[in-house]
Amino acid sequence: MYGIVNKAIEDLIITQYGEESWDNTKEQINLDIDFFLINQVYDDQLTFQLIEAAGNVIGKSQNELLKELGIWWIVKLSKERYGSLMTTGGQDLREFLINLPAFHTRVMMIYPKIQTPEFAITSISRNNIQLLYKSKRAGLVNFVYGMLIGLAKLFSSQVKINITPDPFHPERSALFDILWI
Amino acid sequence: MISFNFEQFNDIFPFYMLIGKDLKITALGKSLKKLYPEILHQSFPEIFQVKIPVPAKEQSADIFKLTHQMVILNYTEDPLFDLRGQFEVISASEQLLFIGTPWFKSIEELTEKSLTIHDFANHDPSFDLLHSLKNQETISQDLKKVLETLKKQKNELKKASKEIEETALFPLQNPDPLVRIDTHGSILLANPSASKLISYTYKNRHYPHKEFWKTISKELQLNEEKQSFEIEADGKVYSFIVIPIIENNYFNIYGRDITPSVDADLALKKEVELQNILIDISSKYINIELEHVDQAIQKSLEALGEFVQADRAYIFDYDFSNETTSNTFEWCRAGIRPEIDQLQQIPLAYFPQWVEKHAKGEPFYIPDVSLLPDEGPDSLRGILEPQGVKSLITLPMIRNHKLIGFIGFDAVLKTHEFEEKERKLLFLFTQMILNITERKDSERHLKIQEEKYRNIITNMNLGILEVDNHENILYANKRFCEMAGYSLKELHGGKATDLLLEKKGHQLLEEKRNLRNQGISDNFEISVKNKAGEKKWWFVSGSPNYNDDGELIGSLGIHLDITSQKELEKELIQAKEDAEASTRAKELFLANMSHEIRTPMNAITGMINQLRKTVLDSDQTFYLNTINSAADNLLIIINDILDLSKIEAGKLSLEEIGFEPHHVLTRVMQVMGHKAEEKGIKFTNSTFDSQISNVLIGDPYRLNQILLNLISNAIKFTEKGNVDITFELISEQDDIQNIKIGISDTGIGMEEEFVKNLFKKFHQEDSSITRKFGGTGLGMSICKELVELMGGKITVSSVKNQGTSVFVLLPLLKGKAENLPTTKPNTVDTSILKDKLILVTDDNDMNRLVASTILSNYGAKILEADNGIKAIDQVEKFPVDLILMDIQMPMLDGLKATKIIRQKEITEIPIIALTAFALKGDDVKFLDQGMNDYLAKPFDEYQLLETTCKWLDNDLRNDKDKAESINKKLPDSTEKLYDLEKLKALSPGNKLFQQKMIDLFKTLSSSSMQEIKDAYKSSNREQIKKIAHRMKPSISSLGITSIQQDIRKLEEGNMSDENIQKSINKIDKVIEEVNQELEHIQL
Repeated sequence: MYGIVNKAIEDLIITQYGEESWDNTKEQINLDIDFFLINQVYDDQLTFQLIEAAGNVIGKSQNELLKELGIWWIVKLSKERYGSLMTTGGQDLREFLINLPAFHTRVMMIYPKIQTPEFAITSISRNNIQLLYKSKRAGLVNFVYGMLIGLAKLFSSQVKINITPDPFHPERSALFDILWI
Repeated sequence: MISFNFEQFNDIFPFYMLIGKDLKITALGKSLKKLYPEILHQSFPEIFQVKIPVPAKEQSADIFKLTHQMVILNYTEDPLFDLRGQFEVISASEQLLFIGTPWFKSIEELTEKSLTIHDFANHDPSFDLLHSLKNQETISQDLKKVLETLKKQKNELKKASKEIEETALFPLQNPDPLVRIDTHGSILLANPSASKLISYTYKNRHYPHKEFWKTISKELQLNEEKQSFEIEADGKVYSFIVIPIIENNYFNIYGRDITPSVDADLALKKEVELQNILIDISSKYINIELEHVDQAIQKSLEALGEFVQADRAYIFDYDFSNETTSNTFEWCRAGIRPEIDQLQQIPLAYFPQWVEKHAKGEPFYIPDVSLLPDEGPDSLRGILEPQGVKSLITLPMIRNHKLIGFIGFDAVLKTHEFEEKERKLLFLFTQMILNITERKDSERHLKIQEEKYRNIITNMNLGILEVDNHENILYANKRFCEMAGYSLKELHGGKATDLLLEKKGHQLLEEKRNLRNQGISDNFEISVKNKAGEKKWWFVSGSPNYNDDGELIGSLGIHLDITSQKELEKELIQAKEDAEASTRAKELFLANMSHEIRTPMNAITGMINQLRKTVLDSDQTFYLNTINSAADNLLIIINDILDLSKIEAGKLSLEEIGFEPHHVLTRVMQVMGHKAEEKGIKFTNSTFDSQISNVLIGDPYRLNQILLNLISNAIKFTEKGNVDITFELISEQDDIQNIKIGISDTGIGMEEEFVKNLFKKFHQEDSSITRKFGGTGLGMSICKELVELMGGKITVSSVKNQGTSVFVLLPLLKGKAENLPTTKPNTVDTSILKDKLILVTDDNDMNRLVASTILSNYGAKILEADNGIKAIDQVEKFPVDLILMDIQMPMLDGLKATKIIRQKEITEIPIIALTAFALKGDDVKFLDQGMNDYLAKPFDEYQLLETTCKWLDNDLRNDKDKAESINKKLPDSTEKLYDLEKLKALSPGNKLFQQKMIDLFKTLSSSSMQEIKDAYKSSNREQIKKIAHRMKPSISSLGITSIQQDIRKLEEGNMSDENIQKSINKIDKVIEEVNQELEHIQL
């Protein structure tokens, strides 16, 4: 995974839980990397280890932490680092979600080594959009869930999000039903 | 040939532009149109500028010639907006087509223009380029952070490296040798101090540097924790500690230069020797017997002389009166000639330098006599040399700043240099000699003193007796012998206790002996008999007597004959007792007198009340009122006397109950209000501090009494003006509020001299006051006593003819609502009295008559008895329902009679005590004797009815919670709702007139109330004043005192809106109640 993900975990833990929590996390997995380069590819295993260790340190489940990371990704990281890029994805949540598959495809072009998940809009109605998420990686459904919550916050939209995991690959794929309320 | 429809073309090239032959823009791609819809139909050259290719100077480009090349256009209205693309000519329509895409510099510009990826054709990579650019920017920022981190880490490393370097330098800079050797003795590390060492001496063998370490390594063990050895190297002594480092197979060896401490050891040894000599000499002088002193000095001179290697040692005394000095002690080494006999009364003039030095407290020291100048036979050298003296030192002996002599040491055989230490030793020795001679002198002095005191003791006026542990007399002075009448011979060996004491004295002496055994001294008085058998009183100061070992060997007593003082004291006690008895008799007389008066007073007031219920004409009413007022006054006087005698007897106890201070104030305002009104003076309450706790703990009845007394005084002595009462909170600590109550008047005031005596009993300013104003002169005294009993203070300030202010300062506990006593309903079911047989027992006919009259008015049947015996007789003869029993009666008093009745197992008849001496706490006494309750005389009608009804009501007794069935409301014992006395006095016996007046009041008061309420609603204050003025006389003549003050205030019209409302509501309520009562009135 690109270093930006690990960097996001680091920023989240330091900002929300303090420098000491991050030091403890690094200590748990004997991490000797001082700085994650955002466009360098790191082993996926490292990212999952970080999530697990950080969860232990701050006393949260992996899923909870992934969800928090997803929100953080959008609300803090993307907004602060790629604010304009985010707004080119759409003027509101609805537009953004509709553009998301194309947007995502373009992102793929920028990061040649990315193992990108697929996003597809499966249904659109006035109050509801269904977004299908498929990934080769297992265990990131809650990260995506968090990002969708983060997007709703970013665009100040009141939505309810239901997750239906793929019965065959519940760890890798899910249908997110986003309902405007 | 490829052809697109318009939709497709717009999707592929959303930023295209079609320009007509006339150079006007005829069509726009959807995204360009979204950005700048206004450019449609505008002239292209006017709004676009061709940036690339750069046009020739001052010529506008011919855009039809710009095909087949890259063109960058700039929109003149938005200089930051460039379009990058190419022109194609559409020959068929002679139009020019621009196909391109915006050239943004950053992705932020897209946001500014509200463009999203949807506005770009999918094939258009410009969005992705911007994204990529943004990404690079972010990466650059990250790299910058990495570099910052690196820089920080580099600085930290630098710092750490410097620290390490400094740490490494630390052992190198150590002045002590540090060495690291391996197990074979090869040197691995050596600091500069260690490397400098050249030759080593170890176990008396010499080694060069490297060889030594090889030798020592053979003695060292890797598995031994700590080893050490000492060597000499290059003239210094080193101690080495060896720490084996097993894991690295080498030894760290830490050396320390211990040369100074070795030198110090030697010096120390010498010092110890010196100290031993000193200790030896000084111990000789401790506890030395005086007769052995000279011998000891002689010996010390010898020891010292030997130690300092002198050949002669001596002591001289100075005699400044004769200006001579004499040799007193001398020691000479064997073979040295003594000089003592020659050296007596030598004139000081022979050695002035010597004396001069000693006078300054300095030693006189000549290291070598031969070096002194040769100045003839009378010079110092001329004197010393014939004695064979080669070196000399003399030290002054100074006591209390006075030079008394010197000690000297001569070297005869050879010159001797007296070292500093030796000189110090000699100095110390001098001090010791001084000390011992001083002791000798002071002991001599002590002996003289002792003799002197012995004489004093023998001849003084105090008798001294020394006895052993068995009271055997060891010593008695002359005076003791005189006091006892025995000679010393007769006393010696005898027992003082047997000779002088009676039985009682033996016990006392035994107690004292026990005290002495515990080491306690004390003073006591004792009665003794001298030899002549005369009784005497002695004051004895006794103390234990110890021997030198601290063992108790007996006791010492100093005796003073105090027989005459004792007799005087006895007389004084008798005189005091007589005086106290006389005072007690006076108090008893006062108390009895007041009791004797109270008893008939009960009858008088009771009869007045009964008489008032009958029809009287105006003269009779006037006479009755006069009697009543006289009786009231008399009662006040009696109560005052009784209070005072209680206070003086310490029998007056105060209540500790919750009360509302504002309620107390309201009551005294009501009670005294009409008195003030009668005199035509204002009575006001200007201040009531809202900080004062709603409930306080204390004695509200006594507080009421104090206030009534002070206010009635104020009103009494004020002819015009006003009387004002204030309640202020002065301070507050924890649970206590200090409350200051002030009563100020504009009355006659007092002279300063009188204010001083104000609180004395029976004191009035002059006898004319008594004549004019009445009173006992006890009031202020009682007030002061009560206030002080409450822990408070009362002060008075007064100016003659201007007025008086009295301040009462009381510390009162703060209370809560629950501390307030629950008030009993003022209703008694008197129907229960009907046909009940009540025995009234009292030796006073009038009192019996009062009680009987009241009770028979309510249908009770009465039996009477005038003593206890008759009462018992009546109880046995008749089915009595209740007994009223006087306590003090002739023949058989009430308590005894009750006891006998109860012994006859007559338990069901309630017995109620009647007494004029009821004090707080007496109820227990009565209840213990078998009585059920008591009534304090003089009782009023209400109290009598309430108590008798309570005890007659079996049901109530059995079930106190049961609600009363028929309540006949009795007049309030404390405050009447109205009082028709005034009205009746206006028209004695004319009931028709009275009824008419009452009817008139009922009608007018209701209508007036309505008017006053209306006036209040319309805020017409003048009207309120007028109506109040109109209502005032009728309220006064009906005696509705509770609202008199409110009406007067409404009439004055100085009140706040809120207070007006309150007063109106109160008056309305009271008038309604009065009218209801008046409905049923029978005149």
